Amino acid sequence: MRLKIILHLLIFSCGLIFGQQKIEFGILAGWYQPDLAGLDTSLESGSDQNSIMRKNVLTGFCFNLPLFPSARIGYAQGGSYYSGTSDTTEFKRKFIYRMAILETYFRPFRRIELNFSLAPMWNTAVINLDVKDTRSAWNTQIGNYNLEVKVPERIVNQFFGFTSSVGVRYYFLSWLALDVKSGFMSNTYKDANWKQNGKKIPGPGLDLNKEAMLTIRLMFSW
Amino acid sequence: MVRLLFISMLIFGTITKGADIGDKDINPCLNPILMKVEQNGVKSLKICQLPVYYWAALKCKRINKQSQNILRHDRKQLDQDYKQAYRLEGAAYTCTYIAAVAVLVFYASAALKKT
Repeated sequence: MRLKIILHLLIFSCGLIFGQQKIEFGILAGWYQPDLAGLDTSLESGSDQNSIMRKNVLTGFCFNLPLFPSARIGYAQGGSYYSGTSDTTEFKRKFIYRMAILETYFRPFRRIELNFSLAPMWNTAVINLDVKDTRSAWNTQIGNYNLEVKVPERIVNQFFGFTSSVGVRYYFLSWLALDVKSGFMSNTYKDANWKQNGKKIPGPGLDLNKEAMLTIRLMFSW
Repeated sequence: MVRLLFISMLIFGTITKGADIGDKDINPCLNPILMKVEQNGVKSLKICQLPVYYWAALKCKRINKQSQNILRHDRKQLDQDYKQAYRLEGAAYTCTYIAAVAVLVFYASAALKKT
């Protein structure tokens, strides 16, 4: 399966390299302020709760295809990742925000572009817990080795959203630009929609519904 | 290791494929890729021709110290892009309007909530 995906990606990227398509690719870093109170009090207690990287920073990538000279469509993905360890558990949490972007733009000056984006979102929140456990059955069978077995548990929540932003892009070269966008995202996150092995369970109370967002993108456009 | 070999072969292949055009020129300033860029802009090239273009442009600069061809071509391309997108048209205007109003309303309501 993985080989199939790699092959498809390879064929796609060969098409992009040898074809005459005009594409844009960018790496992005963003800032937003979600309220993760539900995680702060339960799962992430004991970890560095004041860390900015823990909840405010988004990192990811994006690519765009021009539709016509003042509009482009694209895909962007930003993620917030955190992992921590307490005495008995290893904790990993990630929020992934996927955006299907429709962007319009114009250039008031030769090197400066103003752009306006609208994007529906399909997001995923994942929490992993690796609980260290001592299995007595193993010990009685093969001797007293005090085996520590990690039991991975994973819960997932998928939710839709919408984002809109206004940005300024400065072209250093005709193909290299820095893009700063300010906007917001609005999500439909619900605590009750978490799933573990396909079974619905209640999850931590998070407020991801109306967030101001600032992103900086380094764009390579062709 | 195999992956590394494969990737390096892919990159090498891409560059040599791009180098097909006019690699045997005596005067690098007369390289067809440079001519093509001179006429149609940098973006008329394929991505795989980009390294070859920069290589030819640098070689040309080495011979002709006055040559500012990379900067000149880039400026020309920026001019072309500017001419194509200096104003919004048709449906793009609607999308721009919706996005700008949405952001404005969001920030205004957030500011009102704080006060």
